[in-house]
Amino acid sequence: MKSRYEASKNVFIDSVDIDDYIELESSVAAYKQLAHSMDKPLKMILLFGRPGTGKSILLSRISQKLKYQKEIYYFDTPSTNQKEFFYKLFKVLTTQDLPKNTEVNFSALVDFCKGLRGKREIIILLDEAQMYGSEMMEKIRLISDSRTVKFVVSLHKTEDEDLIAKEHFQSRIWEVIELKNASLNDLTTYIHKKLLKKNLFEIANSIKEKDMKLIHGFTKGNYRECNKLLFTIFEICEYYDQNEPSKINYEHVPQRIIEMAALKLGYIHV
Amino acid sequence: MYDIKPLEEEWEKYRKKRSKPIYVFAFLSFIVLIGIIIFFNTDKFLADQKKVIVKNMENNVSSKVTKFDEAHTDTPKTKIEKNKKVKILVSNKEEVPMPSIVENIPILEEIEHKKVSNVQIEKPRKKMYLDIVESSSLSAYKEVEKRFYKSRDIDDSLFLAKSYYSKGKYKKSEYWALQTNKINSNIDDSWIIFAQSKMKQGDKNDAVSILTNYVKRTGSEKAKNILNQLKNK
Repeated sequence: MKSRYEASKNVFIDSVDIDDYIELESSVAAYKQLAHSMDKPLKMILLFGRPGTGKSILLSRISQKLKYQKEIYYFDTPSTNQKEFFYKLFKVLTTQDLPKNTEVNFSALVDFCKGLRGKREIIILLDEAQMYGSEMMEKIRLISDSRTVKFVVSLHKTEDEDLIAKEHFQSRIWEVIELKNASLNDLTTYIHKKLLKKNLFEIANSIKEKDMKLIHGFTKGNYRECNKLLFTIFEICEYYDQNEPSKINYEHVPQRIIEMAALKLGYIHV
Repeated sequence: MYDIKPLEEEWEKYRKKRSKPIYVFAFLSFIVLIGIIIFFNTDKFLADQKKVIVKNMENNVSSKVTKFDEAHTDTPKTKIEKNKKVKILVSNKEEVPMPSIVENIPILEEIEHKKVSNVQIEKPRKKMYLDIVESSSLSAYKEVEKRFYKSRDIDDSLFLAKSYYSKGKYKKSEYWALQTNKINSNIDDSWIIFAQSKMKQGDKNDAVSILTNYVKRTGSEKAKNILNQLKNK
């Protein structure tokens, strides 16, 4: 027999699935800001934030929403080398595959882009842009200077990457959008909405305000960490439900289980 | 989920570790509470002790005054001898019987070569009376004087006035009675000691005049009696 917690656990499997997108006050604001920036005649937009703050899902969401209104492309996986990147870009610009045994001539590509000015306006969403080297980023900038291709560059915000963002893009980026960790209210809404989306009303109700504070404290409002923690919490609940039902309270997720999950994930230590 | 047992054990350790500061805090709070209780009891104890000393001195003064009146030709030495033999039965305000102190406060010059063993306490549990004897030492008086200059507490100054009077140090007793009168001019005992100190120093007129004014001002019966005694001398 399946445990009632199995479905709950699966809700929190971390993925960039547009169907899993949860509209929160903060995410709606970021979405509007990004959409508004993309309407401006900007060449590059920097979207940055710590890992797990929802950059990828925001890019995915905006590409889905605007795909019928704008010529928008989402590069979710970073290219490991320039050849691969220009191959993808060539396909976007020409809608054709690069012929075999040929390479993209960068100058010709830039000229081609310049030739498209006023005819097409292409938006490319570059996720995980910290993986592109500085040479590649310089070429991306030169392409954006053609004013035919607009880039939304998504970066992780870490100490070093913040420096890259500041130093490398300072003169090139025209607009910066920062995504932050969720507040307690946002995280509560996020967890409840995620569960309610799958009709898990009772489970959502069993996570009380006090538990939310605990979860927010452990995860610091990071959505990815929250998914991990909730997944582990329901995994433990599932085990107890199937093996030792006396140890679980169906009305209320015990604090002990939340702490056990936090111990397992290393948020707290003995 | 196969690692649930080790996880449970780990959580149990975590719970214990987390509750540790609570226990430590509770223990420290308990210690602090005990400390506070002891501190306040000590204060109360000291206050009681002071009262006992004052009472002791009052009794001592009256007994000495009587004795002085009976045998005013005695030399100071013989007075000291008598003082040694005086037994004072001290009682608190509620008139609960208290243990007696065998020895009265000795004269400062003599105290240095006297031993505390002279003190006999009827009930050993009343340790405070041992402290009373100690308070008669020179340093203890100095301590009270120092405290008075800081606190201006008339209990202290009156205590000193009475103590010095009982020791025959009339100049000092006059000084301390005067200090008391400056702060509170309505204390019978202080004016009586003041007048009697004057008297002992040979200023009968001053003594009589002081007490006459006081009696006129306050109508104190106690002062009137002493005044009559002074006049008849």
